[in-house]
Amino acid sequence: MNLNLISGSIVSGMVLLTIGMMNRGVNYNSQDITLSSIKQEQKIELSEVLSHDLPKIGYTSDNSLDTLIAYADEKSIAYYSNIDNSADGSVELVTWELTNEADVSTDNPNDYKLVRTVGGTTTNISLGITTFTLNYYDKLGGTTPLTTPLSSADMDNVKQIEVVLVLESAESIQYSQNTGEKFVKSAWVKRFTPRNLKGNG
Amino acid sequence: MNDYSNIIQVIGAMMLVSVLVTNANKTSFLNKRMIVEGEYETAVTAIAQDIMEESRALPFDEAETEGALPVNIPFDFSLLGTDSGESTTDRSEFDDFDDYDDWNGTVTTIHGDFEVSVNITYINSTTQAPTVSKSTIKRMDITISSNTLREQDQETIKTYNYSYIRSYYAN
Amino acid sequence: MLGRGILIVASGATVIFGSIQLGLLGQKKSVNEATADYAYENHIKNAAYNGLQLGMEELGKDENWSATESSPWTTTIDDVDVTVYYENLGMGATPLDADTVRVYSSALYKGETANLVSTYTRTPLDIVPEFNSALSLTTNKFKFNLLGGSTIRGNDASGVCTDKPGVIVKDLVSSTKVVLGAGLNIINILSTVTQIQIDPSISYDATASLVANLEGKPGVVNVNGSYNGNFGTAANPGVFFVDNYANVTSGVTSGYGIMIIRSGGELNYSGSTSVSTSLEFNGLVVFEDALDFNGFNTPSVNGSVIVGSVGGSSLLDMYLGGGLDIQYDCSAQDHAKIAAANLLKENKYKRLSTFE
Repeated sequence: MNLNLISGSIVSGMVLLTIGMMNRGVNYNSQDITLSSIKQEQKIELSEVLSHDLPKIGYTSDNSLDTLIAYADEKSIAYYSNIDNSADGSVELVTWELTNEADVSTDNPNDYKLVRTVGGTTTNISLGITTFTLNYYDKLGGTTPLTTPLSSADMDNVKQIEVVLVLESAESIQYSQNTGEKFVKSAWVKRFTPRNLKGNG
Repeated sequence: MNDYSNIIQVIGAMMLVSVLVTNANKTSFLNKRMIVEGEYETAVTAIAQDIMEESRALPFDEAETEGALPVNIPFDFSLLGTDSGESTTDRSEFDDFDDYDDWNGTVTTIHGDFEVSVNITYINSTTQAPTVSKSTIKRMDITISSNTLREQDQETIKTYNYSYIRSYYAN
Repeated sequence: MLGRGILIVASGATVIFGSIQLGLLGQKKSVNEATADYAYENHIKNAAYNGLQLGMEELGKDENWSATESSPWTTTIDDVDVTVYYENLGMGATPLDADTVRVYSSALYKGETANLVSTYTRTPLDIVPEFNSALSLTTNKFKFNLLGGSTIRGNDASGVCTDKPGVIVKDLVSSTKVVLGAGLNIINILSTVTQIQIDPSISYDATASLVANLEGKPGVVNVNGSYNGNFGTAANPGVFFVDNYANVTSGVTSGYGIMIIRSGGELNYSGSTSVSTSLEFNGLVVFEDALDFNGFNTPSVNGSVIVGSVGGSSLLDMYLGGGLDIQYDCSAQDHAKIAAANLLKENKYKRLSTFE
């Protein structure tokens, strides 16, 4: 018996197994990175649009609007604003709504379509949005949100709007041998204090 | 005579693979950390913005909350910080911009806890340097940190600093 | 052979692993860039806000500060280039009416911009107390005499505002003093509301603050000795302090703005035995610790008179004779407000809207 050959074969086999397992780990990791980078980029892009829109709630150059918020609940908000600061002062109705329509273009069963409407023009946003929650506060820095949907009185009292946004990847990945498949997530929480809301200085 | 070249090559391969695996694990950890840091740093920026936006909606000084407007400016302005009877910890009770002075708190988000501290100083309107005397312009300095966000040494907790200027005339 | 083979496999795995990591560099860079972009966006927006604040600071201190669209004010804040300018959208019809100002702030950093537009109204700081009656006695330490020929009228002479009481006092004792001091001449205290109103909340604090803030300001006129000047005009009301004996020799018959008569102050009118029949002052007249409030040495007033004491201990002797006429007129309040605003030169800005 060639002991040299046998021991070499055993060690070689172990090395091959190690390479194989390492390859699997690298695989998981690279999928994770790729999907995470996509989700984070998409999250940032969506946050930029929300950061563009929400601070403009109720804006007109002469602060002439009586009704700023038309409707508000935990998944949607509709408000008035001269959102493009047009010289003619025209006011648009802006709506953000997380619909109940599932996004069937992905394998993720938890994601839904988000819809942005400005002055009748609708944009469907399919970025794997699983959570789009709006919380409203009538005290700056308050910790107890107002009950939704907001009443007319509460719409006049709102001072801050908090957005909780979670995006998930279209496909799931397996992080390791011992875990099941999971969707990669990216989250963003931001509380806006729109300057043109009544009572916001 | 026995030929040990085979076993030596296998041992060489083993060493190479062990280095490879070590680096792969290290890289995997670094990659994961980078992803998590990206998430957390976005949250840090959002928290700083929250506080700045919130403070903008408050009057510049306690003197403006007392009915009559201050006449001798800036001498009629209050001392920095919360005033007698006001909460020093509950931001929802702050009624003017400099109530945030020396506020320290933990902000809990979907990503976890962040330690936040805020300082307010009067500054010189021309040089923007801090001044001990009252002026018509204040600066808010926000420092945010998280146990998850660390420097390269993995020991030192990283701090993120933001500042915002507020003028009496620009309520 | 086996060893060589496994060595080749291990080497190959190393190369492949390295390639994968190189390939992932792009994604890693994207994650960092996305986070950095988010931070930059907010950094630039904050710089625009800071620029607006600094611009308003300049404008607040000098409403003629020059910063136009063609020649804006520029600065660098935290490495961000900021440009600020403003435009006057509309001037108020009177000095007391609000002007409208729109301020623009732009920030530029690494090719990205943030723009901010805020619209403000600007009004002069107003610390003149509201006229609540023809004559307000904010202290209860006084003696009161109202002689025949002198009148106190609470009906609004301008016809614009609701009438006010003739006299406001702090308490029942004060009211009684006025009644007894007026005697039969109580009929010369006229008002459709009430002749004498008791208001325990009446206070001299706001007036004391007004006097303290006006004293010594450039433009204040100290009336003393032989005084040959005027007492302000409707177009240019003034603030006049009478702390000593003064003999008016200019022959002026009317004045506008705020007149403050203090202990030791005494007006006389050359050629007349009574100032009140020679000079009518339109606006606010304040007697502060004026131990002698004598109608012969006081102009008639079209507006309001406030009597009070800073220390609270002085006993004021009011002898309202000489044909003194105190007539409430709410429109005369504007003369007082403009006079004070012209001296204080403080504007209050109120934000109307912000586009960010």
